[in-house]
Parts: sequence; structure tokens; C-alpha cells
Amino acid sequence: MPRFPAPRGHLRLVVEPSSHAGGVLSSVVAALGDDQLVALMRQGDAVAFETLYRRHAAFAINLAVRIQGNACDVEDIVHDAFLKAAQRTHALRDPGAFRPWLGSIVVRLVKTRLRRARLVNVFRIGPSQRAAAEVLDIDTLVSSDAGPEARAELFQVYTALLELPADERIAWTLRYVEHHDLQGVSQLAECSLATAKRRISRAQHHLLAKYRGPKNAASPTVECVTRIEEAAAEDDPEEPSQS
Amino acid sequence: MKSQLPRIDRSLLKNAGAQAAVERIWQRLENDAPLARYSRGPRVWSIALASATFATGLWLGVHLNKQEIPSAQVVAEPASRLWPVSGAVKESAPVAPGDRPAGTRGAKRAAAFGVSKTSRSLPLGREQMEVPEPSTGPTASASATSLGASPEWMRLANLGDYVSALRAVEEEGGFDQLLATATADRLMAAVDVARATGQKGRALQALRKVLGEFSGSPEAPLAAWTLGNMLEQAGDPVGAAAAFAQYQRLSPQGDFAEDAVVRQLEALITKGQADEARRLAKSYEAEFPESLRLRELSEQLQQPRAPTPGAASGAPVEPGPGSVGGQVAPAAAVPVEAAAR
Repeated sequence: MPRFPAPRGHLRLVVEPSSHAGGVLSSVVAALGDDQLVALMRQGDAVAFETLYRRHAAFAINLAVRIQGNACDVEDIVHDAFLKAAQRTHALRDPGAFRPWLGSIVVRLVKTRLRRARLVNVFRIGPSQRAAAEVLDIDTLVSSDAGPEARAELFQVYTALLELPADERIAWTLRYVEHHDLQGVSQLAECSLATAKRRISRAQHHLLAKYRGPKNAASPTVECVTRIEEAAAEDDPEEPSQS
Repeated sequence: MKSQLPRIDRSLLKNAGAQAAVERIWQRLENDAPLARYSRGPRVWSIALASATFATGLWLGVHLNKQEIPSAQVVAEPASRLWPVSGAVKESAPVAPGDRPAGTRGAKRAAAFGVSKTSRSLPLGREQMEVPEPSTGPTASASATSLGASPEWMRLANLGDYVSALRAVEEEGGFDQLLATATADRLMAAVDVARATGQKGRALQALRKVLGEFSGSPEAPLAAWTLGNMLEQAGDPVGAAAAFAQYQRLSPQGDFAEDAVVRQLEALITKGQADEARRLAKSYEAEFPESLRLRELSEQLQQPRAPTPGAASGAPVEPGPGSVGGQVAPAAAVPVEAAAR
């Protein structure tokens, strides 16, 4: 039974979900729009919250993974995002805009992590000990149906993205990976439209300078192995050669 | 030639929001929800942590940025007061015994920044007094502005509070100083502030500066696009066409590349340059064969249209762009041409 707290600190249990009536009600609730669900959620309706969660959880997870470039702690981020959303429902002006609002919470949490990771890397202990949020995991990003060339291209793009400041990286990912329009980018990134344009423009410039094209793309596997070998060599520089 | 970035199709991306992950998070949410009820009030430990973080940041800032201090002195004090007349100083400033000699690090730094170390000891010897004229106030503050942290007006502009940003710009020396010293990124933010507060002339000035002096910067394509929009709105199709063409050159795969060609075409049609418009339409058709605008544009091209009087004679556009006899007037052309280099 969901035990979701109401914003005012009390819990209003609508129905027992396992009962027949609960099942019927759940299906009725599932047919409601986001604005109606948010209204119910504000009254402490646990079923409404669960419905909203199940409707938008995949969006939130994918958003976090695609901005970060890996799935590290993404479940924590999404968990925190929904918890914040639950606690601050009253701050949502347009109940119908729950999805972009949730997205902006996810983006803010990911940005905080990226900035923290960058700070850790500034004072980092060694190249092999990069903060987890700064590591690219191409297998988490790319579908298994994608061909090797597409994987190599995405690997190149994401490798270049990792070099960008968090704000620019987020803006570009929202625009070209998540395919939001500029208004959507500015809404999710919580900045003005002009600022969103500037950030995308800077990121695009950087990526164009770094991208070598599909023909010159090295295999991601080969590059990963090379990096791992380099990191291992730097970890243990005095290890005698086996030869 | 630069490679075109691949289009990242959603079908290429894995769906990370699998049912198992969704269920795991939901389990946690169910378990954590009761705890969240008790964690909403002000928390003493978080305040203590924030204070400790602030203190650490302050300490790090002070210790890591010691070398920045001399430039701050240059900004704060007028040059005339920092640098006494050399003759008078030569007579009245004997090197005190035990004072730091001329070749030491502090004295070299003082000489490099053109300031005395402090006013109390007059430690500078003859060698430092003969350093060429110190930098003037505006130049010194210019370097400090461009190298310093993000100013308040920029922060406000990023938040979209342009009226407050304009006020902050005025407090920090005004637009003229900003235009003279800002980087491309800040100039573009200044453009946003100027446009949002109705100062189109300032916005055009800033855009031209970006295209003229920062043509290789990431901001240049956006500057060309914005300039085209503004000139078009101001009734200068010639200047607008040149700016849109500039955008295409700077960012052939940019977000607005297709739109830029269309806008350029429309501008050419407006000013009655049908031959040039047809030539451009052909290359547009080849480059964007699936464009929804093709039919509409070809219809426009088939309709004979007299040149717009304003376009042919050079509509005056504040504060100076325009066209003369179908050619881009120097005021508008120079920055655009310069940007092409």
C-alpha cells in the first residue's frame, strides 16, 4: 500500500489498492490527465502520485542518463526528484506542466552532481579515479540495435560533451539528444531563452571542432581499452615490464 | 571542412527506464516517504554544513587568488594618486634601509602592475620610478572586468531579469564601457539586455562588435542570426540578407541554417533581386530537398515584384546599417565582411 505523505503532513489513504474497488479506481485514476492527478496529489492522494510516477519515471530516468552519459546514481537522482516533486507540488503553477517541471528538477539534480564531480576532478587524486558522474558509459546510452558506426559516432559526441561545462552540456543534450525545442530547453534548464541559445551555440561550436566524422571515428571499444591501459599505467608507473 | 554532427535519433538510444528500474525506485519512494515528512523543517546540520562550506570556500579563495590582489588595487585607485610625479618622488623618496631592494619579487610585481607596493614606505627605488606611464583608470578596469568573475548584470541577464540587468550595467560603468571591454559571451548577453529593454541601437552595436572582433567565437553565428532578424524588422532587407548569408558561412550545420537560407531568399525577393534569388533557391532545393517551404518560395519567385522602395534606396536603420543602390552600405557591410575572414 503506498504510503505517500501529503504536502501538509498528513496522509489521506484513498483506497486499498489490492481490493477490487481499488483496482477499478486505479484504472480510473490512470485515465486522468496530469493536471487532475496533480490536483489529487495535492490532497494527499497516494494513487494519483503513483500514477504520475509510473507515467513519468521512464522519462526522468532517460533524461538523467542521457545528460550524464552514464547510469551512475541515476536511480538516486530520480528518487530524489520525485520526492522533491511530492513535497513541492504546491509550487507548481500549471498543474498540466508536471512533466517539464519534473524534468527541470531532474536537470537541476544532475547539474549539481556534474558540478560536484568536476570539482572532485579538479582536486582529483589520479586520472583513474575520476568522479563517477564524469565517466562515459556508452553501453548504457546506445541501444543494442545501433550499428557500430552509430555507436562510434555517439561515443565521439559524448566524449566531446564531457569536456563542456555542465550548463552547456545540459543545454545541448536537451536540444539534440532529447530533441526539445528551444523553449523546452530554457524551461528544463531554468534559464532564459537567449541564455539557452547561447549555451547551445557554444556547445555546438565545441562539438563541431572536436567531431572527426564517422569515417575517422575509432571504435569505442578500442578507445576505452586504450584509456583503461593509460590509466593503469599512470596508476602504477614503476611496475617493471614483463618482457 | 568540418564534419557534420550526426543526428542523434531516439531509436539509437537505449531505454534506460526499464520496468525493473522503475519498480526499484518506487519501492524506495514508498519506504522513504514517511521519513520525508519529518525532514522538511529547517535543519541545523545543513546550516552548519553550509557555513563550513562557505568558510572553506572563502579560505580557498583568499589563498588561491593572492596574485589577483594587485589588479584590484589598480581598479580601486585613480592612476594619478597611485603614481606620484616622478621628479618629486625621486627627491622625496629615499630608499629606506632594510626596505625591499628593486630586484625582489614584490618590487618586480609592483613595477609590472604599475603601482607602488603601499603608500606608507615608498619602497620603490629609481629603477621603478622610471617605468613608463602607468595604465590609466579605464584600461586597468577594463582588464579587470574582462578577467574577473561573472558580473552581477550577467547573472541577472542569465536569469532573464533584463531590467535589473540594465540597471546593473549602468551602475558598473554603462554600455559604452561594457562594449569596449566585454568578451563575446558577455556581448551577447548585453545584446539580450539591450533588446529586452528597447535599446536596439546598443544591441546592433554589440552584435557588430561580436562579428567584427570575435568572428571565430562560438557566439558569432548567433550574432549574425540575431543581426539578420533585427535588420529585417528594421526594414533593411539588404543588411538582413547579408547577415543571414553570414550565418550560413559561420554555421552551415547550425540550428537555423535552413531558416537562414529562407530568410535570405525572402530578403532578396523583397528587394527585387530575382536572379540572385533564383540562384539561391536552386542551391536551397539541392541542400534541403524535403523542405516544406520550397513550394511557397517558388510561388513567390514566380510572382514579379517591384523592389521595396526602402530596400532599394537604403532604409536608414539605427544606428547606421543600411543599403545604398542595392549594395550593402559600409556601415553594415564592414563587420559582416570582417566576420567572414
